[in-house]
Order: sequence, then C-alpha cells, then structure tokens
Amino acid sequence: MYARNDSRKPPVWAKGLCLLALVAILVQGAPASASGPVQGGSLTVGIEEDFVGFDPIKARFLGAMDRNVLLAVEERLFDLDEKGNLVPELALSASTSPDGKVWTILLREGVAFHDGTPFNADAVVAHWQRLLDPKNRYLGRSALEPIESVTRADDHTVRFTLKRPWIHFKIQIGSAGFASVIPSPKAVQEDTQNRAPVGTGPFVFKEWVRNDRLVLARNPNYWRKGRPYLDTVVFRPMPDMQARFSALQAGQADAIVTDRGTHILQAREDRTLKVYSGDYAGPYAFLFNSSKPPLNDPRVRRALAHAWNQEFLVKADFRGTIPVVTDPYGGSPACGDSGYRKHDLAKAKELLAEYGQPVALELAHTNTPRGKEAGEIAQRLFKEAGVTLTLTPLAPGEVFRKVMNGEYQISSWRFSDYPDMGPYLHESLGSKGRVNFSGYASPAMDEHLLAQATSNDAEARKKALCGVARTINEDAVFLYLGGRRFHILARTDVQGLSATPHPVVRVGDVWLAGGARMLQNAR
Amino acid sequence: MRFVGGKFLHLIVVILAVTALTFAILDLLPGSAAYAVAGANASAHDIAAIQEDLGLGDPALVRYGKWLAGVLRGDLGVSLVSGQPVAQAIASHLPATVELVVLAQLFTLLVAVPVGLLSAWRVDSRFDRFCSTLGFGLTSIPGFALAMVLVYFLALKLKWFPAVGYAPLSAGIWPNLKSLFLPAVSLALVEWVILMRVLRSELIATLQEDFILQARAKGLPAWNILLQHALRPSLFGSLTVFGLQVGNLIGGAVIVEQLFALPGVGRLLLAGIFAQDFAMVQGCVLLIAVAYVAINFLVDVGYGLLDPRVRRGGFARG
Repeated sequence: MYARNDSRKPPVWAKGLCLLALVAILVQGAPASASGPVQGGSLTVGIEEDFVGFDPIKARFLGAMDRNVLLAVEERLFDLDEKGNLVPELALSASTSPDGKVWTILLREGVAFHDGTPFNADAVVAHWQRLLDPKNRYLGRSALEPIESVTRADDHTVRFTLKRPWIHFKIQIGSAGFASVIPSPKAVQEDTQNRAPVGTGPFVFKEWVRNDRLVLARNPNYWRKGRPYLDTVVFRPMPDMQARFSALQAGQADAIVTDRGTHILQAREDRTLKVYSGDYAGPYAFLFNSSKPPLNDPRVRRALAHAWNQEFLVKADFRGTIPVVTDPYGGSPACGDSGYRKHDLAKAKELLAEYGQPVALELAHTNTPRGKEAGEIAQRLFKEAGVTLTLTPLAPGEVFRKVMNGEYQISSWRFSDYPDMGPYLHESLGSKGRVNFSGYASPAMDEHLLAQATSNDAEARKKALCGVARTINEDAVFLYLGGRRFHILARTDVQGLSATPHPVVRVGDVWLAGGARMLQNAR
Repeated sequence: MRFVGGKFLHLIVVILAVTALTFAILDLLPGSAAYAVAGANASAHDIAAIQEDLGLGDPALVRYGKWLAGVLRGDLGVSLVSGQPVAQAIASHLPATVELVVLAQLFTLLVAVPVGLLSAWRVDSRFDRFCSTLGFGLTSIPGFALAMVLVYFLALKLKWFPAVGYAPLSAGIWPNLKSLFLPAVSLALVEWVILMRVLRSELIATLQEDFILQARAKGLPAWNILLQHALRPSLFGSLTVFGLQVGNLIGGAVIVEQLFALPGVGRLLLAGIFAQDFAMVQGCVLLIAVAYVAINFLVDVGYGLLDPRVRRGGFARG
C-alpha cells in the first residue's frame, strides 16, 4: 500500500521538468509591456480617409489623417508637454530677448534629412521664409502675422524676430501643424514634398498609392538611437466604418481610428482589443448666423440653446463615447460649466414668447449620416419648442461656401482644434476676426479675446479664456454637438500607444509585443 | 474598315456629349472646388486666391475648351484637390477596377449560363422555380447588405478571405485573387440573375424553333441540343446585357469599392464629385465613355461571330 502510493509520486526529474515548464509559461505569459520594446515587425493602421498631402503650400490644409504621416516622417523644433512647455526635438533650446521680441533657437547637430541633406539653420530658415512669403499664399500665414522674419545666426542657430511680444510663439512652433514641421529643402525645391514627404523623422516615406496604402519604413539613421521599433508602417484608408472594424477583427489592421460608438463599445468588451481615447479641443457645433434675423436676436439663440439637448445627441448618436462639453477647450483649460444653457423646454418657450414672432429656420448640414442624424434630432427638439427647422443636406465644400459667404441661418460646423484655442477663437469669434463667419460681435467677447491674446500671466489668461467660454454660452453663439474625443482601437499586442493631444497614431513610439511579426503589408 | 471608322466617329460624338454634359452639371452645381480645397479656416481672400490658382475664374466654356485641348495633347490635367496628374491617378486605380470587373463577370457567367440552360430546358420545374425565386430574392437585397453578410461569414468567422483591401498582382496571384474574391462575388450575386433571366427567356423561344424539334426527333441528347444548337442563337440579348454590365461596373462599383476599401475608379470618381474636382471627374468620365464605346464595339463584333448574317451586312440585307 505504502509502496504503491510511493510509485504514484512523480520522480524528481519530472518535478524539475514541471518547474521548468512553469517558469517558461510564466516568462512567455508575462505582460508584454513588462518585457520592454521589441524591434521589428509591421503595423497596419486603418484610417478614415486618404491623405490630402504633405506640403503646406501645395496641400493648402492639413487633412484629418495627415498628421499621422507628418509626425512620423518629419519633426518639429520642439514638442509641447501637457503644461505647454517646450520639449526639445530638432532644437536644443530656445531663449528670448528681454523685450520678448527675439527668440534664439539652438539646433541639434549631426541630424540629416532622409535624402541626405543636412539639417541646419538654412533648412529651418528656408521653410519659414517660404511660409511667410506672401507670394506663396500659405493659407495659415495670417496666423503667423506677428513673425517679422526668421534668420540664420550661425549654422545651427536661428532667430525669430517678432513684431511684438507674442505669447503664442511657443505654441506655434511646438504644435503639430504644417508650420512647425521642418521638411527637406531639397524635396521642397524639387516639388516632391507634397506626395513623397522627406523629413528627419523616425520613418522614411516609401510609397503612396492613393485610396489604397501609404507605406513608411524604419529610418536606419534616425538620430534617436534604438528608435523607432517597427520596420514598416502601412496606413490604409478604409472609408467605410464597418469595413474598418471588420479589418481590425479579421487581423488585417492592427489599429484603426474610428468614432463609431457601437464599435468602440464592442472593442471595450473584446479581450483581444484595446481602446485608446483622448480629448481635444474644437467642438462639433451648430453655428448660428447672428448677422441676420431672427438669429441676430439673442433671445432666439438662447431659446434654441435651451431647446437643444446635447446630452441626448451624445447618447443617441455616439452611444456616449464623446464628452458633453460646455466650452471649446477639450479640458485645457478647465472652465467648469461656464454658464452652459441646459435643456429646458419651458425656458425656451418663454424666450420665444418674449421674442413674439414665429420662428422658422433652415439648417445646412453635411450630407453624411452624422450630419443627417444631428439635423433630425435638432428638428424634433426645436419643434417641441415651437420652432420649425428645415434640413438642407449639402456636400462639405458647399457647407463651407455657404458659411463663408453668410448664406445660411444655422449650419453644422466643426471648429478647428489647436492645443491653444486662443488665437483661433480670436479670429473666429472676435468682431473683426478673419474667419468670423457667424457675424457675431460683442464688446464683452472682444474684451476677453484681447485679454487672452495680450496676457503673459497663465492664471489671467485662463480667466480670459474661461470668460470667452462663458460669453459663448451667455450669448448662445453656437450650439455644442459634443466634444472631440478620438478613439484608436488596437489589438492588444500593439504596445506603446498613448492618448496624444491629437487623433494621431504615434507610430514612432509603437512596438509589437511577442516578438517581431513578419511583414504583413501584403495581407 | 467602314465599321471601325463608324465606331470611331461614334466614340468621338459620345465623348464630346458625355464630357460636355458632365462639365455643365458640375458647373451648375452650387459651390466650387476652391471651398473644398481651402478647408474651413480659409478667408474670402484665400478662396479668391485659390480660385485664381486653379483657373476657376474663367468662364465654363473656356475651361472646357482648355480641358479638351489638353486631352487632344494627351494631357488630362491635374487634380484640383491633390495636384496629382489625373492620368497617373486613373492608371493607379484602373488595375483594381479591371480585375474586379473581369472576376465579377466571370463568376456571373459561371452561374448564369448553366442555370439559364437548365431552367430553359425544364421550364417551370422545381429547379427553375427555385432559381427564379433565389434570383429575385438576391436582386431585391441591396448589394452592400450581401457584401456585409459575406464578410461576416467568410472573412470574420471562417477567415478564408480578407475582409478589406486590395493586393496587387505584384503581391502574387493567390493573394490578389483572395483580395478580390468577396467583392467580385458580391457583384456577381446580383448580376448573374439578370443575365440568367435574359438567357433563359431567349432559350425558351429558341427551343420552340423547328430546327430544335428536328434535333429532338433525331434523338440527340439534351446537352447536345442545348450547347450545339440552342445556345448560340440565344446569346444576342445576353451579349448585350453582358456588355452593358461590364461598362456599368467600370465606374459604378462604388459601393463595393468603398465597402472593401478597393482603390478603384469608382472611388476616385466619387471623391472627385464630392470635391467638385472637375479635372478628376472629367478624366474618369472620359475613361468610362471610352470603355463603354469599346465594349459596345466588341459586342457588335461578337454579334458577327454569333451570326454570319451580321458580318455580311445585317439581317435586312442578308
């Protein structure tokens, strides 16, 4: 009996084997992130639409997806941290003169563009002079108006001379926009930059087949040693949202960008997927034309603000996957509720009764499912308050045209997103703003906009920006249709992704867990 | 030679008519490419500058004339939105479209011809009724819904085919065919029904002819009667429909191209229309018009192959 029991005991060598197997399982099964970045592999990213182009003058504006490539191929002088401080990228330091009108920037040495052109002061000056030259008609030039000149001090030092002290200067050179990234002067001169961008970044442009794929390859000479981790990155435009999600589920895409609520919720439940989200500024809105009756009367605008129900839209249309917002800043600065006008039908009816005339309006909205859904919700809500709303679906270009020419009453609108919304709001809400398409003018608003533009004190600036937000709500300049929140849905073996201030897959930080996968761009 | 000359003249007339009409429609539409190109933050001054850059300030007739002169020189112009040469954009989008059309029509033929033959041979049989019901069912379901069902089962569940994307021929024959299988089947599931119904009805009429009765009286087997005697004279209508289907798919498979993220001409055309990128739209329309006329030419040649009387000058004189 005893002996029989003994014979059932595993021998010592078997115990050893089991222990080894256990160790092996533990090592293999350990969280990938704990093992650190792994070199190699290919990442396929499904994006909403094709890229516009990568030359600021040829492309004219930065397409919704363009930053993904721009920040992988090209680099800025500085990045910005969460507090708005400059973080050196192609530059080493920035210092300002006592009067705040001259910025001296020291550049990194030993860096070269992908085409072999050295990165130096000449490259930076050539880029900025091209943008500032009125003959080149760079569309963002008016935002750079305070810059008088950009000159070379020595081979690795540039000077920005300003017309006046400009608090937004740091944001301008550190934001992820066209002006801040430095292209190869050779590629610009040869007129290839728009379709085959050349920069100093972690990835080298390889191929762009419109509507199909854009391929980047690892920059073997990248100045940050050991980076990037991936060998190849393939961006694939997949305009259909369902197709994009199917590609992720089928393993044809490693990450996708989407705003479809059902897919985001489904991905949260799926253990093979992970959702990365980040809020940013520039809300979706219904813009009021305040220059024409009846919307030139604040009582009508306020009534519509109370008839509107942003919470309902966010729940019904986005399944709660975007935030309800009360200011245009995406959380930075945080201004609290800013006197937001909540859904209150009685208040809406009261204001309309005070106005005393029947109100019938037309909404020009984009001919997309989203535009249509938001329009129909507004139509139903306004009807409850006694306002008739006619819906006019239009192509996006035609919506722009109508708004820019003031040929509208209410229009669907998307405010641009900037890390610092101050300068943009100055232009779009100021009574003399360059892109003030709503015709709105208010001394109180102008006062807040001026205060935020001229103040050098962070607290005072925050107060002024929150004053802008309060005045937007007070005067019901536009209706919020939810805040901007981007979602990247990725497979769990995609590591290094993070919530950035822009809807950008920062492929320079990404690696694939579990060892390098073989090239999959032909999948 | 006269036949070819006549067709060439036909091609010129069709191209002039179609491109002029498209140009007029685009010009009549409210808005301008400049607004789509400029984005939301452009000022009125910026828009005016872009209009000038793109040559949109000229009257429509002048712009059409310039475009036509460019075409005669072999220059289709550049996209107003991307700045890419239109010919280059079309050339890069054509392979996916051509392959999709060829594969879809191949699947269509593979199903439509045998089913049409069997249905006509046994009219009102269970098989005929089943195929007719199935066909009507499939044509009444929107193509995109069928495509989504196919993706769900064959790509997501069984993982036999990729859910989206196009692998060019350079990536290998097998990946290329795999990437186009589901889109082609999605199109063929609707197309085969139309072709089958036309073939069936023509075959039913042919099978009533005296020469078929004679063949039956000789005791020839069914397959011989159908394939050797009845099929050829019954192909006229099917050939016409087939030609129209091919022409239609060259620019008209937009939904399938969107759903499967295929870089085809349909997507290029659709994007051009939304952005009012007239250079791109005109280029695509030109391609479609040429394709239509070329396919019709081939269909006419096909009539001649099917019936020698057509080659000798038509039925009236034959």
